[in-house]
Amino acid sequence: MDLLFRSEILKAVRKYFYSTSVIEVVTPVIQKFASSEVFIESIEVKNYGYLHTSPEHAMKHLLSKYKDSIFQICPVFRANEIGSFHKEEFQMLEWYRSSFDLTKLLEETEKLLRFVLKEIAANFDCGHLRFPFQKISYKSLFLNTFSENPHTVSLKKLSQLSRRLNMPNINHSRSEYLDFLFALKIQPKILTPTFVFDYPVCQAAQAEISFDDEGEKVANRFELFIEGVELANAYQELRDAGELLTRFNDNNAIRRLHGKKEVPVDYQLLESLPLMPKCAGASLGIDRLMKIISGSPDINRFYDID
Amino acid sequence: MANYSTNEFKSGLKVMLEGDPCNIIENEFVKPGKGQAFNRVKLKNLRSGRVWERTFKSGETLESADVMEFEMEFLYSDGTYWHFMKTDGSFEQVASDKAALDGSEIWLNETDRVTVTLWNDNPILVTPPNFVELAVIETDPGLKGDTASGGSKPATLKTGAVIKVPLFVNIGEVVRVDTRTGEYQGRVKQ
Repeated sequence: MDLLFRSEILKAVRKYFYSTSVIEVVTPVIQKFASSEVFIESIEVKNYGYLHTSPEHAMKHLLSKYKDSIFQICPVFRANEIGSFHKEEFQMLEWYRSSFDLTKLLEETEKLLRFVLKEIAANFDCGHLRFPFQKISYKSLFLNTFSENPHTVSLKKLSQLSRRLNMPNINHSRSEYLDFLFALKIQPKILTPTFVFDYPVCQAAQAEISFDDEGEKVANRFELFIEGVELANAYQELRDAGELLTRFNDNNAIRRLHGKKEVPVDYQLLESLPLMPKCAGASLGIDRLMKIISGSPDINRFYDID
Repeated sequence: MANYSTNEFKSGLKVMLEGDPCNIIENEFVKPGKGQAFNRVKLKNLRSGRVWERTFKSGETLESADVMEFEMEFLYSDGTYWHFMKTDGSFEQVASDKAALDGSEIWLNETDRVTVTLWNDNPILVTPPNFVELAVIETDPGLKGDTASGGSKPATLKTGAVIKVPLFVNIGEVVRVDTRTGEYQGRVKQ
């Protein structure tokens, strides 16, 4: 039954993209560079490189040459991520839309899910997912819960709020405090499908920086949460190689702070970035989508081979 | 002594926390987006019985607790200690003080089998069977034939426990009791 479930979802996703002329690509699972993210650990393949934690870099390299919209469904690998919403190997859908701005990609994400659910509706009950999805800024959520503006709140205040929630005592950056507070107090309460947008600048990752309605600097990205689970993550893709290098170096500085090994900078990506068309990209966890639709308590059941 | 990392935490694992042996009840892995992963863990302190909620950085470790559970037969109480014997054929005996019994002494019937939790070979918890059968030694006279009125009265059992029983139960009869709730379950035919 689960086999058919995954198959139907993948078929529907492909049907959607093929009908909108987004082409399917395949990039190597083994990469030369490990993930540059501070808290995402790559699995090393001795003498070969690293299993990719996401196809992001390789797909951006393709984009810089092909210049048009692409998508990929592939296994990705992240060491030590084990839980009822996490697996060290999971299946990811990642797609890039040439010339899209983030608003258009947000609309497409909802449209894609609506399409997939409709396609599988004959065999699988998806009635509990309500359309249209909600939209709310990161700032509003943070203000509602902590009465603090996440973009301007002091590090000291963040530390106080976190300590009150029993945060393990180690060195923390601004982003870590925000993540901890968000994950503990805000995320579990986002039950109906909701897009959260305009993230704090320190969490820009590979997204462009822009300004929100009130003129505050924000990261131009969104995440989609359903039933307290992060299902999708999207950026207005950064094309400024110098800026990305600065962020990579910042990540390495935080890695050092945590006693982790530095990660060599993916210079191929830095070379590709300026050649990329203006684009927006998103990733979506297929296993989490299956979990949400089926109401199963654990994503690991979709991998039972016994 | 072995150490367990957060990703090995699972329900039933016995670990040391703040000097006390604890039983892990629940372990939730939380990974915010690209942020630091942590684990929200519920543990039961096996000495106090209290449930603790703690947040650990993923990858942190806790020392394992030398906690073992044994099925044992309750032998007798001398008033200060309660004596138990292993049922694995070793005839090994342990003596438990009142603290480890934590109120469960009122359900201990000689020759009944119980679960005794040992920490570094000392009893820290005695769990009686879920159901025990005990004779009534004191209660008001029963109303013969009254099996339907639904009233109840207190009755003292041979171990000293006082429970509520239906009006028709008499002294000398054996009743079945749920030790988790202290509720009367029925009469046992001898």
